[in-house]
Amino acid sequence: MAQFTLNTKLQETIGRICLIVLIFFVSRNSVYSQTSDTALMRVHYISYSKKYSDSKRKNKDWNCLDIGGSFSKFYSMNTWLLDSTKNVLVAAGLSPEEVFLKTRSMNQGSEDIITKDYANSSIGFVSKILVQDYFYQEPLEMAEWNLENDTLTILDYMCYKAHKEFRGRTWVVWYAPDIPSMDGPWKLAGLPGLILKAQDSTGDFSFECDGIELLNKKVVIEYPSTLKNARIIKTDGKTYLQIKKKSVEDLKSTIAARGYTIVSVTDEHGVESDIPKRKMNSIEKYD
Amino acid sequence: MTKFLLPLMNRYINLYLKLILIVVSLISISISYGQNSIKGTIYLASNRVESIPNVRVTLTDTVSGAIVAYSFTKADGSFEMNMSGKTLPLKMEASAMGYQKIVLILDEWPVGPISIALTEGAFELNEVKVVAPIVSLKGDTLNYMTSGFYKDGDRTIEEVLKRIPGIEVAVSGEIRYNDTPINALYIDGKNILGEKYSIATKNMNPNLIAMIQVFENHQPVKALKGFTPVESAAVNLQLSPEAKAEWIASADLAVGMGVPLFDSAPLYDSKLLLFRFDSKLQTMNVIRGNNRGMPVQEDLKTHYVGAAAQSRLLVTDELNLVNVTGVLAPSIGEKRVLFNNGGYISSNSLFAIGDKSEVSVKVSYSIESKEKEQQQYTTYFLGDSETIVIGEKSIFSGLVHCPEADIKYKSNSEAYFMQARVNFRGRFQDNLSDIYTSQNLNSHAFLNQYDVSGIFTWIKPYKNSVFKLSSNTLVSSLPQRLHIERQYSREEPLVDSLSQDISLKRILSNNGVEFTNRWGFFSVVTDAGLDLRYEKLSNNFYNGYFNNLPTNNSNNNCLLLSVLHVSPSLRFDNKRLFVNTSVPLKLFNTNLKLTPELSIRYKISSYWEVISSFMCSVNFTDITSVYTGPLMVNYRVYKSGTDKMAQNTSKLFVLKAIYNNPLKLLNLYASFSRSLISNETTTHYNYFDSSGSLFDVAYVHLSEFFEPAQNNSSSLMLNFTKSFFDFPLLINIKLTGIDTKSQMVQQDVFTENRYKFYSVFAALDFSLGASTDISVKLPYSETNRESVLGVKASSSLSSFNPSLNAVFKLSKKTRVAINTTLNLNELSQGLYYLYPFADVNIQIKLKKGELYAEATNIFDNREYRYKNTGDLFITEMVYKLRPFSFIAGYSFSF
Repeated sequence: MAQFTLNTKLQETIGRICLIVLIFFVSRNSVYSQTSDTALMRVHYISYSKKYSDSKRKNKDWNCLDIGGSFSKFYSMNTWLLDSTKNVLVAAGLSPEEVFLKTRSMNQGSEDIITKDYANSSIGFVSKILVQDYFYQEPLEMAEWNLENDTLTILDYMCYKAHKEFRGRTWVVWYAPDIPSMDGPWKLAGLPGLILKAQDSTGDFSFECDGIELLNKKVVIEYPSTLKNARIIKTDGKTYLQIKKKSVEDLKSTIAARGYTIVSVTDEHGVESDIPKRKMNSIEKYD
Repeated sequence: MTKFLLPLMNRYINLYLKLILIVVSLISISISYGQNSIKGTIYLASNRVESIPNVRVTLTDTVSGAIVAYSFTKADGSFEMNMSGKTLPLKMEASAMGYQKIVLILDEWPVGPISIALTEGAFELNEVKVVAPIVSLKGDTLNYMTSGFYKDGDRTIEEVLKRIPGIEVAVSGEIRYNDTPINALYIDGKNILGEKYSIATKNMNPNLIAMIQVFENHQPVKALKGFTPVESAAVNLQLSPEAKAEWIASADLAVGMGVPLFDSAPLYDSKLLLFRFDSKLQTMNVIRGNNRGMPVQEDLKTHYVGAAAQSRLLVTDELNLVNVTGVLAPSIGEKRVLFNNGGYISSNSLFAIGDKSEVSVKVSYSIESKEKEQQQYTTYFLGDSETIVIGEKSIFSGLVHCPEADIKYKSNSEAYFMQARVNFRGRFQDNLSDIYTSQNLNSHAFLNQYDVSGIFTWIKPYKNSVFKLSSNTLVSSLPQRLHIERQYSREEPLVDSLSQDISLKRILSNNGVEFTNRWGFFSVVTDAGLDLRYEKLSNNFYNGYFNNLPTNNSNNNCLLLSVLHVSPSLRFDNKRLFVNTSVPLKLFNTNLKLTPELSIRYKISSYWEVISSFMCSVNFTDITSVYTGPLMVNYRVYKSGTDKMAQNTSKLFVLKAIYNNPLKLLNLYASFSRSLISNETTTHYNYFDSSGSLFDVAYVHLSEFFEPAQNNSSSLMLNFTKSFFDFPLLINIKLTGIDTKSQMVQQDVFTENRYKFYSVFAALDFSLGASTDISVKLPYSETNRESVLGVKASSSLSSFNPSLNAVFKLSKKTRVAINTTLNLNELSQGLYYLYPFADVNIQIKLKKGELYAEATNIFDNREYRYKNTGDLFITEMVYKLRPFSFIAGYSFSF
């Protein structure tokens, strides 16, 4: 049998290539298979949203955007505080009645949780309608912003203006190039700086930053598709909006569709009545 | 052959490997030339291999600074920017959070791909504005930002506390967390007020407090951490930065009128709070006064803080051996029937000595005059279906002074704990009651009480053990007097009188040592001690012109009870199962008793929990039950004792089952308890009519005799709750049933009474939008009393008291609260009295303070009737109420 030997230089070259290829594929795999991240920064927004077309009232909420290296998570801090307080009370042995009484003064915010995956350019959306959780995934739309020269100072950051059409609304935003993040509130992203203020042209929906903090303690962001939740229903954005619209505009049917029988509906005087119907004003529209 | 092939193979392998290298390079690095786009890749500087996604790459004009192009790296670290129409020079910047920024100046278009290496580093923001959350959890500490729970209209921190999840504030001011009294209220980490924390909670403005912290399972003694489990919590009020190391004052001034307008005395309610908190000294001083029915002693109440604080006074209640009539308050609350004028001043200071020690000095003085008016019609059951009704009207007035002083030294560290405390409390009360019954009487009681307490505690931990030495002593003197006069007519002078001078001196002392040893889930606690109770009662009667008992009479009684006890306990606690068993052996003078205790708590699953406990206790009667007397309690009631101590043994068994399913928002709670009390003595109730009696009025004589008696009681409670997280609606239904049997001798006939109480409570809480909160409560109760043996007597009463509370937020600065209650009281079968009550409160925020107005008793109810039952009688009470009143005020800080 012939002996096959490689000279030293060749051996080194092969070794280097193998290492490069190995690291390359491992790193690619680790990026694509990453399911959680650690948040580096938390951005606080005050938001106003007009939920119903037939009402002038706007709901105020306190939202947070936790930004990590690969993921970000946008959620209502009011809802998070309420849920975590309830969990603490339940763990302490209080009944739902006592939990309700103790937390009734706390604000209830939006149920939506939006997780952006920069690497895969996708959004994972989780929310709740009538005690049922829903999840859908869709592409993260980053392009087509129109940059303008107008400036505005927000929290001592010089911000620049940009606008674009997104899901049926014209969004005007102010982004801070000094903060190197493509992110922003809700599903808005893709600018060369963190979006500190956003408002749609009708004024129905707005977000404005009122605080930024660097996170010293570990805050984990987990992409929702990895959540082991057997109760969650996977759908798509358009279907989810249809369900939500139905629950707002025809609550009676929605309840009946869940298998419940409505025996009677009365007003505060005990007089037989109908469940009032509202007109939903959605922040986005799917074609 | 080999010699020929090997070099050839090496040559081709070299070429092949080079080709692979080129191809691999092409795969991982894209090459671009020209001016239409710039491409590149960003790597981690430490290894120049690992790519970094999501890095922002911008091109900005070097003159204007405007961004002309930008991109973000993909997962593989690559980026591309379209450069059509862009001109040089340009500044290129690559930045990402967690990495140091790289800035390049491009004077010419890059020829090849751009490779940029970023170094990891802290990302610095120009300014970091931290927004603390309303609630954060840290171990056993819950932090609540006051602003999150503050509602427009809150004038004291107590109102904010009520909204903190888990916290309840009782009418008395006692704070409970998860249904257990807190063991301390700290202000900026210092326990300045001790058990009298209502001075702070009822007077401090919420604006002064930035954060409320709840320390769950709080062990206030550092040396006991990990040894003695504590189920209670503590509350810390963290001051706002502007309130620290400054003298802060707040004032509240209100004036008003009652009805008839301008004919009734003007009303006032005022408060001045002055305090300062810094590292060396904390001081809180309050002056408060009112004449609108709010008892001044409410702020100075001594609350129960449990044994964890190691400084609990043995006795905190006021003891009245005698009294006048007409002092009771109805179920609707004292503030509706009390006509008062009074105030208090309280000064509390805490001096820090080093890091671990402190001295606290507390001084307070209160003075208050009170007036009430009530009528009562009492039906006495005399046997053979005979009853008699006695009517009485009492017009009460009283004046009370209460001074108190407290000094405490405390050293609290992990190495040891030491506390020494001295407390003095005095009460000087002068009560007067004009009584209109079959005779016109004047009843005058002087109620004095002096209590001096001394407490010493020393705790030393050592490895897995802890040793505790404690001594708690009270010396008390109660010299009291009851003087009764009968006025025959206005024209004739007072001719009949009787005085009773009674004096009780007592010394109570609890002394003990305790040794705790811990091994994993098990703990062994052994405590031993000696408790002493010495009481001496002397009673002197001085009568004027009466011929009947009691005449000049002098009597003395004293007793001494010593309890030598040894109590070993074994405890097991692994969070799921908790078992505590204790076998106390007690020597009561010469009687040796065993009083075992067992408690078990088991969490069957995440939804089910079962709790069971059995407790046996032995008590001996006090001097008031021993004194043979007679002792005149008031003009109508006399008491006689047994001449020696009697033993009472009680056994209590409790079983609870809890089903709590948060996923279905359903809670079911069932509790059953059975109590068996065996007494060595039986109480004899005898009613005597007026003929030949003192003052020619009927009276009741209660006497104790050594005859065994049993009192048994069973209670059952069921609670159902259903709530909806998505709708602000809550439904709660609670059913309670109590069945009690008691034995006594009534009119010399052995009688066994059965008392049944049922109640149904339904509550609905909901919100209408963001501006209206509504709470509806529907409590109904029924009381049945009947005698099973002996003197026949039965009664049945029911009451229904629905209430509706509504809060309307008219604007950001204006708030209106309306509280309405409908009291439906059954006075006899089928006959109900209806009393609607309504109070309205309006608050308007101004720049630096707040204007408020309050209208009380809008329907101007002048009297309130209801019935209650006792063992020997049933009584219908009629109270005179405070009429409609209106008050307006202004509160501010300076």
